[in-house]
Amino acid sequence: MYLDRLRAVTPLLLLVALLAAILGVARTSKHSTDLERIRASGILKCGSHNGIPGFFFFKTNGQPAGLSVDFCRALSIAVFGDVNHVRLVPISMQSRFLALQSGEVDVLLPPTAMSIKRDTSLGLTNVATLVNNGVGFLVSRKLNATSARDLDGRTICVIQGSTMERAIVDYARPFNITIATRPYDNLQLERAAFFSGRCDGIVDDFVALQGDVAAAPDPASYVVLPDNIAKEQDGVMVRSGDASMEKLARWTFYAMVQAEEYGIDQKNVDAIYRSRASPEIRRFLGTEGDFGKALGTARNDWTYQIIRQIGNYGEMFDRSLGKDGLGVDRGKNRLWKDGGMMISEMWQ
Amino acid sequence: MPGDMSHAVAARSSREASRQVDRLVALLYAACLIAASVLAAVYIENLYVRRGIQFGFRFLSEPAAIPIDHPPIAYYAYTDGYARALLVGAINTLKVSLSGIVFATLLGAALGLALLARHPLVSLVARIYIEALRNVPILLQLMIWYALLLHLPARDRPQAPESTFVLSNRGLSVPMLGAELSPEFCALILGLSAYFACYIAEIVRSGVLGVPRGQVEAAHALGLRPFHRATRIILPQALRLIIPPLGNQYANLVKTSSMAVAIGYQDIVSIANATMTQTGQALEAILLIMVVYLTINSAIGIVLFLYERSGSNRAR
Repeated sequence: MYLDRLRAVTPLLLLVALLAAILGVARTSKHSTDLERIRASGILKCGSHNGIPGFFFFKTNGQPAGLSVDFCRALSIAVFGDVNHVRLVPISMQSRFLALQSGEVDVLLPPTAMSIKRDTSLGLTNVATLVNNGVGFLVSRKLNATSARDLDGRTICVIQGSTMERAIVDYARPFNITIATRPYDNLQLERAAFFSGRCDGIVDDFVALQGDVAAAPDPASYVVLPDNIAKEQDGVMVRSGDASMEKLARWTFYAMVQAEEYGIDQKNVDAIYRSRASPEIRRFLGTEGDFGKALGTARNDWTYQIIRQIGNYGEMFDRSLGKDGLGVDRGKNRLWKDGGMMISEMWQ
Repeated sequence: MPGDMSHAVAARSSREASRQVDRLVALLYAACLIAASVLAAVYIENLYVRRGIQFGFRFLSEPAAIPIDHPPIAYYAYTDGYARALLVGAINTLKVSLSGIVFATLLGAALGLALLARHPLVSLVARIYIEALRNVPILLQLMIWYALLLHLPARDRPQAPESTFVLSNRGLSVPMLGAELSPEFCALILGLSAYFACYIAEIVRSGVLGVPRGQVEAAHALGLRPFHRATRIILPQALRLIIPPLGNQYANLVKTSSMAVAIGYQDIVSIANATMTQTGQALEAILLIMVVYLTINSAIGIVLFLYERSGSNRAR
């Protein structure tokens, strides 16, 4: 009698047991830190939403490109010594934090806005701001809107789970206007819905909107409104609990910024590396001192390798977002000494 | 009789043996269950504790940063909690499931009868429709419906108040009734009912054919009119064959409504996904999704079971 009852739940029981076994065993790794586990696996898995011009997209020849891709390669040099260990994992906006928590990816790359909520409640850690960005609207010219305030009663397509949804509500409240939102969890679907007229505009960071105008079926009939309704710092996130991984990611970013400050770029780095440069530069490039060893990088001249193969921060920006990419103004992403916000901690 | 005696002994020992097997199997089950619980605990420990997330449902009362398009009940993003947002998602799932069931049943019954029609053209058309839709993935169909709806003419200015209904790329609006249906909702209803009608049609067809020929002939012999033959003899008997598999299709439809995510309709899966993204409480959100589907499907199952029982009592 009760055996029958047990028999009825057999499939369920077996499923639960199997699932728990797979997940439990998979997560119980003998490597104690994240960095050790990544090194042992031989692969650095970088997660980013694909199909976003400037950050992670595929060129016409099928090669992945973008600022996030470049940074992932730079980090691979820090972790493994070369760029051949990168796996780019396209993830949706909805699943990105889950993907990082569960180990499906090891680093989360822009465009992901960093906030105190995300730093504290997800078991993840914000490491560095790669791009200082702002949030604005792209609308159809048919609306005759010149400012975001003209969007009263309009519908804006948004990405569900993004910080932009919030930005709209916060922006609209003081002006006493209502801006309706139509959420999608898929970026491509959201854009397609907007361009076929499902909503009057989209909200996103200015870099992304620039890419959208360029990719629009009829660029002249769309306009990016001038209002910056919120700040957005697109950054790198890793799992909490492994300081060595955090440090590695942060100093990879600093290395690229510091290289620009020193005036070292892809073209002149070899000459500087071989020349009798100042001790400060030699320590930075790893021909002297042991910064690399102290950080736990694969090789002591990792900064040299990054500059030689990827370039400094300015080169990385220009290639994907700036003058050779989307044509976005460098703006706040200039170096601190040029009036921007990009700054490295000291290399001493 | 010695023969009977040995029979009885053999029967008793086989009962004894089967009881031992029972015990062994029960023990195995218990072992499985314990192992599963331990492994699940290890998993939760890994995923949650080590990453600084606490397992529990306290997040439900925190304000939800999930704006919802045309919520069916009063809901204010950033003020109301995740519990309310998830409730809105559940209601949206229920709304689309029930409407889908109604339309799929109506269309399916019509198609099923068309399959049985004596005119070959009618049954051929029904057959072509069924084969075409049944063999194309539902996800693809939903996307096609949605793309079609989005390519309807734009609605630039407010419609004239005297118009009965306006269909545009912003959805279907019926000013007289004050109803506004989003294109996402419409695409989902169209897709689900068009697809599941195919299966329901086959069930209706086989249900009607399953009624013994003798019953129809007897009705003939009694001189019942065609209408009474259909409603008093065929239908009650066919229903008894139709309802159990129909319940399966209803359950399928409810579960398939989770494809809503693909076209941006905010059902329970969509809201739970957003909740996971924002709170990191993935296991809890998935548990809630399971509870919602289990509840809806159990309710449908119970209703059909009660209907079936009352129907078979009437038939007797």
